[in-house]
Amino acid sequence: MCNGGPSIQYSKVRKRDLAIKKPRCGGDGCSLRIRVLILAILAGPALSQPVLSQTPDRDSKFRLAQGLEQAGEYERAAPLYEGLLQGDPGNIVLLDAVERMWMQLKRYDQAIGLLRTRLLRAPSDVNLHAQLGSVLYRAGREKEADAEWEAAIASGPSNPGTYRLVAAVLAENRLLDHAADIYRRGRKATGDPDLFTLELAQLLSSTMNYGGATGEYLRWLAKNPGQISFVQSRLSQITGRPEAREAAEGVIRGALADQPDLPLLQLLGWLAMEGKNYEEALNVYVKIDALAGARGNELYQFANHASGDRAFAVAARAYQAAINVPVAAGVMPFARFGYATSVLELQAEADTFASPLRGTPATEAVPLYGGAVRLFQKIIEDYPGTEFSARSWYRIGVMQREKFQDREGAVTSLRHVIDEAGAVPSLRVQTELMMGKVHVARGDTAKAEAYFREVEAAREALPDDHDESVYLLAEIDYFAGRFDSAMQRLARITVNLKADYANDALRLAAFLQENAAAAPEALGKFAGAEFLARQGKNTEAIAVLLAIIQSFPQAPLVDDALMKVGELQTSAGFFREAAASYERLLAEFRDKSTELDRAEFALGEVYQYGLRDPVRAQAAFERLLADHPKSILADRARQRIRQLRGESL
Amino acid sequence: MKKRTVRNLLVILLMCAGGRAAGQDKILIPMDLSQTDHLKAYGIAYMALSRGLEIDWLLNYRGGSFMLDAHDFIATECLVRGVLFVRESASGAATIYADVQREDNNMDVVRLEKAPRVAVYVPPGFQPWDDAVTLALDYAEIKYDKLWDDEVLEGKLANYDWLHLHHEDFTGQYGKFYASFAGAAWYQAQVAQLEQEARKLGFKKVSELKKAVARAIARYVAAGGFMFAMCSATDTFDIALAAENTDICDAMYDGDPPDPDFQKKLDFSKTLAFTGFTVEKNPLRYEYSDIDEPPSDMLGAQNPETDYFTLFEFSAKFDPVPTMLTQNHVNVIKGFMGQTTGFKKSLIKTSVTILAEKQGTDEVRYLHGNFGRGTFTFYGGHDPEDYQHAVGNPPTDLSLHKNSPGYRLILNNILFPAARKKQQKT
Repeated sequence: MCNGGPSIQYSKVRKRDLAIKKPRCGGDGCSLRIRVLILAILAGPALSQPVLSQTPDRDSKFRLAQGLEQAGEYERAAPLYEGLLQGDPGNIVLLDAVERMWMQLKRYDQAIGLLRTRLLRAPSDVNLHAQLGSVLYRAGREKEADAEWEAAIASGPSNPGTYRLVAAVLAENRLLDHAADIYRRGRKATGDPDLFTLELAQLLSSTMNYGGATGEYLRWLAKNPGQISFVQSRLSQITGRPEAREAAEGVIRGALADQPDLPLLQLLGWLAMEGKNYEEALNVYVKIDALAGARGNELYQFANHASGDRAFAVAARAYQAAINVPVAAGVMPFARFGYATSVLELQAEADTFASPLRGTPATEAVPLYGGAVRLFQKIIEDYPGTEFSARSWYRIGVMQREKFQDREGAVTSLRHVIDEAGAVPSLRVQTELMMGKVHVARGDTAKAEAYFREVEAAREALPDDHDESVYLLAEIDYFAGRFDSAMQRLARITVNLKADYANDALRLAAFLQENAAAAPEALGKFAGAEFLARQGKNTEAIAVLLAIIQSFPQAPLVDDALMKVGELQTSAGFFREAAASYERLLAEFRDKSTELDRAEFALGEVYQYGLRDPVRAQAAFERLLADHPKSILADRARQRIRQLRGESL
Repeated sequence: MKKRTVRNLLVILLMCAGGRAAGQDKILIPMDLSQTDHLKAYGIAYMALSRGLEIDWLLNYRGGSFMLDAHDFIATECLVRGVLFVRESASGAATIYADVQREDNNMDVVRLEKAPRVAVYVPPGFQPWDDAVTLALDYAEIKYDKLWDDEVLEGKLANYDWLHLHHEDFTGQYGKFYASFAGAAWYQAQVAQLEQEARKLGFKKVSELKKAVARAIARYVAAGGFMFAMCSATDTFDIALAAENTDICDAMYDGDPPDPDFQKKLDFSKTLAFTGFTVEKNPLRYEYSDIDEPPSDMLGAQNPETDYFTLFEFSAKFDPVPTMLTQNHVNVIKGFMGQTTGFKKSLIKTSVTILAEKQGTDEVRYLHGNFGRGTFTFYGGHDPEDYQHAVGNPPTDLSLHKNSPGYRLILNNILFPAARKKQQKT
C-alpha cells in the first residue's frame, strides 16, 4: 500500500477519469483546476502517504507543485512533478501530473513518450489510449490519433463507457462530428439504440444539426413520456433560430407520420406557437384535443393564447371548434365570449371604410359589425344576469355609440350593464362614463352630469377614471357657459401633470383663460358650437362658427373657429371645403395664429387621405417643416413625407 | 469705403484660389450648438456626395459645418430629416470662406468629393447586443454593405473605401464570455456557427480563421483602405496580428492549451497601434490584455458623473486629418464603457496620433494612425449614449440623441475618406 500498488492505483484512475471526462469539465483551465482538487481529495491520502511517510521534503514539493499548477505556473510546476516522478516512477498520480504539465506546455512528444511507456504496462487501458490519441491529435499527428482512439475502442468494444470516454476526448478536441459518430457506433456495438441520447442531442445541437438533435430528444421522450417539459426546455435553446425550429418540426412531423402520439403532438404544437405559426398550431391542437379526450379544453386554452397574441382569425376558429365539441359547461361562456370578441376584432380589421380622417359611416358599420352583435346578443340570451351578459351588453353599447351612431340603442344597452353588473365595479364605472358621453351626444347634459358625478364619487373608480369624470363635468360647464366653474374643475386635474387628462385640461383651461375676459360673447357662442358638434350637428355648428368669424374678427378665438370649421368639414367628408378653410386660416392669420402648424398638418392630411393628392399633401407637410421646424407635429410631418415618398419608416 | 472694396476683392481672390465659382448661392449646415440634428447632418452630406455634389467641410467653423451649392432638393431633404440649414447668398458664403481661410484662424476648408463605399464587418444573423456604428449609419441614413469572414478572405474588401469592425473578438475567444455565458443558448450557437465557418473555410480552429481575417484586413489598410474599430475590435485586432505565430487561446476556446511562451512570441512589428502589451493569461477573465484602461473588472469603480474625455485640438491648416476626426460642437465628451473602454497610453506606438484622452489619467479613448497607404482609427467603448451597455440590453434609440457628441466622432470617420487629398504643408 505504501508503494502504491498498481492495481489499486489503476482502479482510482479509472474512477477519476469517468468523473472528469464529462463534456463540461473536459480540457479547459477551469476543469484542470477542479481535476487537481479532485485528485488531491481522492488520491491525496493514498498518494501523499508514501511521500509523507518517506520524506517531508517530497511532500512539500508535491504540494508546491500542486499550488503552482493551480496558479497556472506550469513551467515551474513541471520540473517539480518530474523530480518527484523520478523518485517514484510507478506512481500513477505523478505520471498523470507530469503528463498534464507536458500537455499544458505543449511538450507533446514527451507526453506521447510517457503515455506509450505507460501503455506498455497496461496495453488495454482505454483511458491511456484515448489520452494518447488526444496528444497525438494536438501534435498534428491526426492519423496516429485516429488509430489510438480505435485502439481504445478495441480495448472494450462492448462497454458503453468506452465509447463515452472516447467521445468525450474527441469533444474536448472540438471534433464534434467524430464524437457523434463514436456515440452512434457505441449504440450499434452494444445493441442499445437508446444509449447516449442526451449526449448526442447536445453534440448535434452544437454542430447545428438541429434535425439530428431533435431526433435524439424524441428518442429520449419515447422512453420518458412524462418529460415533455424537460425536452421543451432543451429544445428552447435552439428554437430561437428559424432554421432550427423548421428542422425540429420536420423531424416531429416525420415521427408522427406512422401513428399519432400525444407528447409528440404537444411538442409540435408548442414549436408552432414558438414560431408564431398559429394556423399550423391550430391544426395540431385539433388533433391534441381529440387524442387527449380534452373535450375542447385544449382548443379553448390555445384560443386564449392566440387571442392574447392578437391572432384573432385563428383564435376565432379555435374558440368555434371548442364550442362545437362542445367544451365543458363551465368553460362554455368563456369560450363563447372569447369567440364573439375575436369576431369583433376581425370585423374591425376588415373595416376598410374607416380612415384617419373619419370613422365608418353608420350605414356601412351596421352590416359590417352585425355578426359580432348577434353573437353577444346570443350570450345575453343564454347567460342572463351573469358577468358574461353584462360584458356583452357593454360591447354592444360601445358599438352602438361609436360605430352605429345609435344613441338611444346605446342608452338601453348600457342601462342593462348598470342593472346587471353590480358585482363588477370596474365595468360599472366604465359604463357610467360611457353613458354620460352618450347623453352629452344626445344633448341631455343633466343626465350626463349625473353619471359623471357618480364616477367622481365612486370609491372603486381608478384615478384616471376619476380625472376623466372631472374633465367631462368641466366640459359640461363649458358648454353651458359656466366658465368659472369649468376652470375650477380643470384646476383640480392639472395639479398632477402626469395624469392622463392633464394635457386636455391644460389646453381647455388656457383657451378659457384667453377668451373669457377678452371675448366672453364669442366664447359662449364657440362653446355652443362645440356642443352642437358633439351632438353630430356639424352643419349647424359650422354655421355658428362662421358667424363668430364674421361677427368677432378681433376675438382671440377666431382662428380656433376657422380651425374647427375645417375639422368639422373633414369629419363630414367635405374635403375640398375643409382644405379651403385651412388655406384661409393660413392666409388670413399668418403671423397671428398659434394654430398654423396644426392647420398645415390637417391640410396635408386632407390632401393625403381625403382628396388623394399626394403631391399637394407632401407640399403641405414640407411647408409645415419650413414654417414651424420646432412644431410638435414636425416629426409626424416628416413621417408622412417619407410615407408619401414610398420610403420605409 | 476703400477698405471694404479691398476686402471684397480679397474675398473674390480667395474664392478663385479655392477653385469655387462665384455667384452661386450656398447652403450652410452649421454644426455648432444651434444644429437640431447633428447625426442626420452627416447623412445629408453623404446624400449630397452620392448625388455627385461636392461639399466643403469648414473645419472648426461653427463646430465643423458643411457648405454646399444651394439646391432645392437639399433644402427639402434637410427639412424632412430635421437638419438645420441656412441659405447663404454668394457674398455671404464668400465672407464665410474668407473668414475660415484667414491665416490667424485655426480653421480650414476641406473639399469632400466622393461618397465613400462603406462596409461593416458583421456576423450573419443577429447578435444579442448591438453595434454603435451600424446604429449611427442607419440613423444618419448612410448606406453600407455587410461583410463577413468569407467575403473578407475572398478579397471583397477591395471594393470598399471604408471598413468598420463590429464589436468583434479577433483572438478567437468568442468575446471571452465563457465564464459568464458558457451555458447560454446564444453563446453556444455562436460557437457552433463560428466553428462551422472555420471548418468551411479550411481552418482547424476559429482562432486561426480570425487571425487570417485580421491579416486580410491589415493588408486592406496597408493598400490604402480606411478602417474604423470600436470597443474590443481594437485591441483584439492588434493582439491577433501580434499572435500570428503563437497560440494564446486556452482549451475551452480552441480545444488545446495556449503556448506557454506565447507572450515572448508576440510580434509587435505586425500591429497597427499597440506595442509591448501583455496578453491576459486567465481564460476566464473578461479581459484580453493590459491595453484596456481601465480594465473591464475595474469598471465598477468608474463614476459616470465624472467620466469625461477631452478632444485634442489640432491645427486645421497643418493637420487636417486629425482635425477632421475631432470635429465636434463640444470638446469634452461624456465617457462610456465597453469591453475595451480605453487604451493605455504607454502601450500606444509613437507613430500613432492621440485624438482624445481622459485628462489626468493614462486612458486614451480615441486614436488614429497610418498603416501603409491607409489609415485606421480606434475608438474605445461600446455605445456613446449607453454608459454601461450590457449583453441583452435594447439598442439605443438615436432619435433621442440627435446631438450626441460621442456619435459624431463615429460619423466624422465616415466622411473623412471623402476628402480630396491635398499636399501637406508640412
